[in-house]
Order: sequence, then C-alpha cells, then structure tokens
Amino acid sequence: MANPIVVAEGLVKDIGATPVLRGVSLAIRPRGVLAVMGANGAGKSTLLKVLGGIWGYRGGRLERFGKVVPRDAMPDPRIGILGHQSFLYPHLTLLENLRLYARLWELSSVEERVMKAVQAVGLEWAAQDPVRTYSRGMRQRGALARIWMIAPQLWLLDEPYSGLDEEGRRMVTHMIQGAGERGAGLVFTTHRIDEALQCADAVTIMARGTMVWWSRTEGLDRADWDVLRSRYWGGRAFHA
Amino acid sequence: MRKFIVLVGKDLLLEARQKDVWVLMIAFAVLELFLFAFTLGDQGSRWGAARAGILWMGFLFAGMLSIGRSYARESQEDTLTALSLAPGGRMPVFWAKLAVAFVAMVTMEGVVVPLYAMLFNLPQSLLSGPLALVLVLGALGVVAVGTLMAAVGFNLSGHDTVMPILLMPLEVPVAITAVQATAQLWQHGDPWPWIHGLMAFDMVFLALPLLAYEFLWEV
Repeated sequence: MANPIVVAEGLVKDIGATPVLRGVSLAIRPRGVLAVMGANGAGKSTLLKVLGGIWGYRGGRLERFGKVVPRDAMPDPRIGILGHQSFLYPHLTLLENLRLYARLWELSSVEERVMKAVQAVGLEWAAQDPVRTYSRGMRQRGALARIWMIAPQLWLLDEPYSGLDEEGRRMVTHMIQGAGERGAGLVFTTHRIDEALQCADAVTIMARGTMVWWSRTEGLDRADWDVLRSRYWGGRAFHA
Repeated sequence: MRKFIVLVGKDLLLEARQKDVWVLMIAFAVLELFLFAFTLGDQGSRWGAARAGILWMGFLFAGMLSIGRSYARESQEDTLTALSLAPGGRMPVFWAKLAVAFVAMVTMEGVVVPLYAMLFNLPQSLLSGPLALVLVLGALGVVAVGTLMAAVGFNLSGHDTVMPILLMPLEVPVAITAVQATAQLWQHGDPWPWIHGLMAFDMVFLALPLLAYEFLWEV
C-alpha cells in the first residue's frame, strides 16, 4: 500500500484563545478521497488550512509527503487549496490570473496548460473578461481551474460545489474523480451527503473541532445518514 | 528570484489596470506642494530648512497613504494566501511589494521635485547629485518601514486606522534625517552625517523583515 500523502495525529489548533481543532486524526493515501462534513463552525475550514500549511498548529503531529511539518505554518507547492475566496485578482482576466499562477508554479508549456484549464472548467467564453465581472459560480470555476492547472498531489477543497449550477457540480465531481484516478489525495468539505457519496471513499463528521464519526462511503445509504445528521447537527446532542 | 520578478510584474500590471496607488501618491504630493506654494507665496523660497520639510512631508504622507494599498489589494480574494503557497517561500512577496513601492516613490519624486523647484524658485545648482542620493535613500526608508507595517497591519482588524498610528513614529527617523540632509545640501553645509544616518536606518528596516516577516503570516 502506498505511503500516506498526509497523516495528522491529534491535531490541535487555537484561534486566539478559542480551541478550534481538538485532536483531529486522519490519513490520506494516494487516490484517497475524504469528505468532511459538519455543521457551521465545526472546524472543517480550519482543518484544511492547517493541513495545507496556511496556518500552524499548537499540538499533535502533522506529516506531509513523508516529512513532519513544523508547528509554524509551512505551505507546500504540491498542495492545491480551494478556499472560500477564489485567490484570483479581480482586475485581471482569468487568462492573466492563470498565467500568473503557472509562472509562479514554474510550469512548462504555460499557454497550453492555461487553455486546457480554462476548457476543463468551461469558461472559454469568459476567459478574457476581468474576474471582477464574474458571478459567484464563475469565480468558483476559475478557482478550480487554478488548482487543476497546477495538478497538485494533495487537493484540499473547501466547499468546492458552492455556488455552482448543475453542470458545474458535475464538473467538480468529474474533477475530483479524475484527480483521484491520477494518484492525488483529496480532502473536501461539503454540506450535502450526495456529493460525498458521489466522490469520496470515506466520509467523516466533525463537531466542535473533533471528528466524531467516520465511515467508508461504500454501503452507506441515505437512511443511515439521516439518523447521523439528526445526532450531530444542532440540538443538545451536539454539545454532549 | 524568479518568484520576485513574476510578482513585481504582477503588481505593475495591477497598478496599470487600477491606477489607484501611483496616481494617489503623485496627486497628493502635487496638491500639497501647490497648497504650500499658494499659502506662502514668494516667502517660501526664503524659509531655509523649512523648505526641505515641505518637500519631505509631502513625500512621507503620500507614501503612507498609498503603500498600504498594495497589501489591501491582496485581501479582496485572499490572493496573499495563494502567493504564499507558491514555490519560493513568502519573502519574495514582501520584496516585490517593497520594490514596486520604491519605484512608485522614486517616480513620484521625479515628478514632484522639478515642480517644487519651479514653485519655490529653487536654483538649478541645488538640484545636485547628492540630492538624488538623499531622495533615493529617503524613498527607500519610507517604503521599507511602510511595506513592513502594511504587512503587519494586513492581519489586523481595522488596519486602515491602525496603520498610520503604527507607521508614523517609525517614519520619524527617516523624516528627520532626510529633511536635515536636504537642508544641509541647500544651505551648502555638510549633509554626509545625515546621509549616513539615513543609510543606517534603511539597512535596519531592510534587515528587520528577514527576521520578522514569517511571523506575520500566522493568525
């Protein structure tokens, strides 16, 4: 079995004095896709930022690509992160943005890669328009094009389906499956179980900074999910 | 180095599109000059050391107004995070911001100084080589402190308010040394002790980010 791309053991992260991650453990191997679910404020986005090295962590252990990551934040260009914002400059066109990131990532055949990325997200028709004229869904597509273009070994996607139309959602599913097939590891957050069941090998639920439940998606059905949802989303059970 | 060059190109392209930093700087400095020229009339040319102060106050406030904007541009879509993820580490992001701000300051000085000479009847002989050195070193001091403080302020809530308060006391040494060096030049005194002071100040604020910048990225 291939070595894990990322291993977290008992990760602890505070923001100010507030504990946001309280001992999160996970391992992602090549081709592994994990869906992280949970109510707002559960710590999903923070987990992705810590895994991606945008933020440091206070306790536990984090290993990426076989090396222990120091507790100070340490990014790695082999990681592609989709955040709540697009990471695109609004006053530049999508083509200019992608060219910029292609040069920063020192990719070869810049123009070819940029055009393929634009095609992959279906934005050929708007690629020469400034990103500030884009709708929310178009920005999300542009942000996904950036990650697709750099072809990272670890994809960390925070609500990748957010703001997308039906065709866009299919595109994301296809993109996640394709990245997994090419050997990348993926972690993505979502609020919809059908999205998790479509793409992920495993699904976990976070509540108040810890992973309270996980399962392989194979064999998991909607009825089980409805019971879990009532247990971990809202209400007093959440605080138990 | 490659990342630095790409980021300088990006910042220049953004400035060409948005025109919000350089235009603001030059407009502010020119307006300040006209304000003093109209207020003081022909007395302005007889004010000795205060003439240098008028020039440098314009540069200082124009720099303070505009340098923070270069980081503010990165906040809209969290692009600073994306830049930090790219190969080459985080320092090139800072040096690129500093380099573009420096070019902007020197360009502003290039526009303002001839205008100043005209408005305040400054003889051509006083626009000497050493003045160019003082202008370059002064610009470097203003942008070194300003860019570092802009990076500090980026993660602070209400950074628009906090920035000038943090920046003002730190810019005092560069203001004093630059004004005194310019005044000594224009009064045919010895500017070199002040120029050396300006050099020392520049070196401190160019070295400080190497030690502190990585800490600025954390929450």
